[in-house]
Amino acid sequence: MTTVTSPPIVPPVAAGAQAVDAPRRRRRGPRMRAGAMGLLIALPAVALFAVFSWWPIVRGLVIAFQKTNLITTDWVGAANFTYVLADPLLGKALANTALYAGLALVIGFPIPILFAVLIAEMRRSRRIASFLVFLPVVIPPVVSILLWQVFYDPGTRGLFNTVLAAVGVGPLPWLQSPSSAMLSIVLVATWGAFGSTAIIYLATLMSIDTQLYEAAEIDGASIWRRIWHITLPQLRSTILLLLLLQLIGTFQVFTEPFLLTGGGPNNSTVTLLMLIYRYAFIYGNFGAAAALSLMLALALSVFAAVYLWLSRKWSK
Amino acid sequence: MPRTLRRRVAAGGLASVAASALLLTACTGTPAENTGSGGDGEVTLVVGGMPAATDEAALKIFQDKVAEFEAENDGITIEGSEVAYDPTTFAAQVAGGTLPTVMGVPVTDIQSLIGREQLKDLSSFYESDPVLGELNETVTANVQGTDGAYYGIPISAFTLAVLVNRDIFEQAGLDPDAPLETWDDVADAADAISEKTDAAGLAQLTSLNQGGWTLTAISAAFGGVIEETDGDTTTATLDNDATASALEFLQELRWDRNAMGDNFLLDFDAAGPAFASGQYGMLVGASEWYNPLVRNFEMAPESFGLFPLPQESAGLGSLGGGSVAIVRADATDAEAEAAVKWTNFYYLDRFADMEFAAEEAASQAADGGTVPRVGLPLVAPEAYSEYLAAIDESINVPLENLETYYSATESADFQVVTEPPVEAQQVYGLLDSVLQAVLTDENADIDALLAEAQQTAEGIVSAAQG
Repeated sequence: MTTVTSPPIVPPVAAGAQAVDAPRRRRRGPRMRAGAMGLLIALPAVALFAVFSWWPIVRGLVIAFQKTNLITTDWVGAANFTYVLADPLLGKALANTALYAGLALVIGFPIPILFAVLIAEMRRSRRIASFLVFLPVVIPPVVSILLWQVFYDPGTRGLFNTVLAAVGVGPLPWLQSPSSAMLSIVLVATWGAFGSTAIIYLATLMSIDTQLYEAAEIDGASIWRRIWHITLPQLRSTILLLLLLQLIGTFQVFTEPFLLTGGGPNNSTVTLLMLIYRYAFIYGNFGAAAALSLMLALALSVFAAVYLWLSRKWSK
Repeated sequence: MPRTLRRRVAAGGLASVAASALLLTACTGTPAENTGSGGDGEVTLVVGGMPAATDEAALKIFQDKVAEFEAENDGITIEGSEVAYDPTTFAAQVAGGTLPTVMGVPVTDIQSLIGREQLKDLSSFYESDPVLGELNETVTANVQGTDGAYYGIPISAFTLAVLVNRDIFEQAGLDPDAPLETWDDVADAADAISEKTDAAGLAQLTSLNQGGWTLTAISAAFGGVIEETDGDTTTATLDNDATASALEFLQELRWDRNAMGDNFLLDFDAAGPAFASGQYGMLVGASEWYNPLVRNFEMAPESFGLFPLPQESAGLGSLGGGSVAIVRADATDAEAEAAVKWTNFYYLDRFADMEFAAEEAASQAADGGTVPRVGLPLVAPEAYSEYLAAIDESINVPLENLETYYSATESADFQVVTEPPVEAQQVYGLLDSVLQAVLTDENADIDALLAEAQQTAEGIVSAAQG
């Protein structure tokens, strides 16, 4: 599961990089043997994937159409889907997840770009800045969430409320109020994940040709115009890709709401994945959990396909 | 490709084939360890809940008992397993065959396990075994399914009660030995505590289904139940007057008197340490929480006080709970018999054999355990007093501080209410949200919230009954 702005490792898109095509020559014998050997070497990894990734996905697909207590199993067709769609909490979970994704987009998306641009401008402290920015990513999520629970403690004991009290702002409810709980969670998730995305943007920025900037400076462009007209367009493909990954990732948020609020107060932070967890592990209804997972996966796949098609059109 | 490189690649390929073969054999897994009888009445019993190797004292007690049991019972071998009950993995363990044959399960989860047919029917043993016949009916009622059959053996019991911090009570000028008779008394006490001390008056659990659980207990004390059973059918009755009154009580305590602190996302793991360290004066919870509060959260034993749940005029009693030893649904009859023998030996014989009780208590006290275990006695008051007299030398719980609770449980009007029979956990979850809404939103409309929860509960309860 990906968190806000924390995608799997993506090689930086270097602007203007050219792939070199090797001249082709037909050689059958040794190449076939090499191919077979390659397959054999890949076999353990393939076996691991098959057993721990692909087989569970297939099983999940099957369970979505069954009612099971893991001892006896019955086929129930689409009953799980109607059950899930009829659950009044589904609408709330969907709305909460969309709210989380939206807030993460507004807050969590520009921040890594901002930091990357700032760090790129630094001359001497770039290494230290990168290290500091990446530090929250290294801290295990559970540890950082326990830390933030102390920060968010309501009343005068919590760190944030104590600091705010010094400035004269009354104790804020943070996680205790339905209106501020989701925002508090987004802050935690952003803090924990912006570092890795910032580093990726930084790598892309480092490969931008400095001549572009020099030319712009000669033409009298201010720093903001340079950022807007040179930096951002050069980052465009990275931004589009990371945006897609972020949207898919934020729709699967689980760790932060689960540990910080457990879905409360009053179901204001229940997300789709928390609902799936509840179905499976609290109510023991594996069929419903699998059905909702399947629907979520389909929805995200359709979204990703549409997104990629649109961005390809736009790139032309 | 040059010959040496080809050889290296070949070696690599062979190595990875070997690795895959190993991997796949590991993945097929070992056949279930609980193969049970090995011919000629030999039974191997896998017992769950064995203390971890890090808890040396408790582990030693366990192993000594295993040795004693095996000496007395030729033909039964006990295999200890550290697996303890975890609702999130229980079903998977049953399916994978890694669940111990006999293990302890909390009463709150028993009914859903019975409903999912994951437990063995032990009624025949209840008819034949003298020790099981001695158990308090209030306690055995919890292990019965809707069909009246017994699906487990109670090994510990408690009722929900008002846990108090005696030191804070005294600081606030209240008498920690005078029980609170009505819920108005509770409100006044909470008021006094939050005004005269640094602590908040009353802590209320609100998450992980524990909020709904405690609210159900308070509703019962106000005179209402959240599920009613009529013959074979159970209906949800969340929007009853008693639950509404209970919520109004909490609402007033929170918003008008401001005596409940500021944190309203509490489960036991959050509230327990807070209560133990003196941040709250009172907590509605299980009477057996003395054990974790003193042992794990380092509360001073003398600070712990216990009042029975105050009953309004229409009050139905205190919600009961506890642990039940269950046997896997697919265990053989020989294994079930061995399991019953072991459970009796480990948990219940202390009430039948006074010498055994005294020895056991002495070794437990020496190893840092709480003696006796605080909670609802499993046997009738006379038998229990006999037990207390036998272990008198080893008692390390200040029982005089808990007199108000124990004497209440012995009185004839003490009623124990059983948990809702159908999908209790899900219904508790609904009440969790209602509680959180009432405690975090000043303008919460209790009737509307209960009506909404009632509607959802009706769906859940009727779907579960098929």
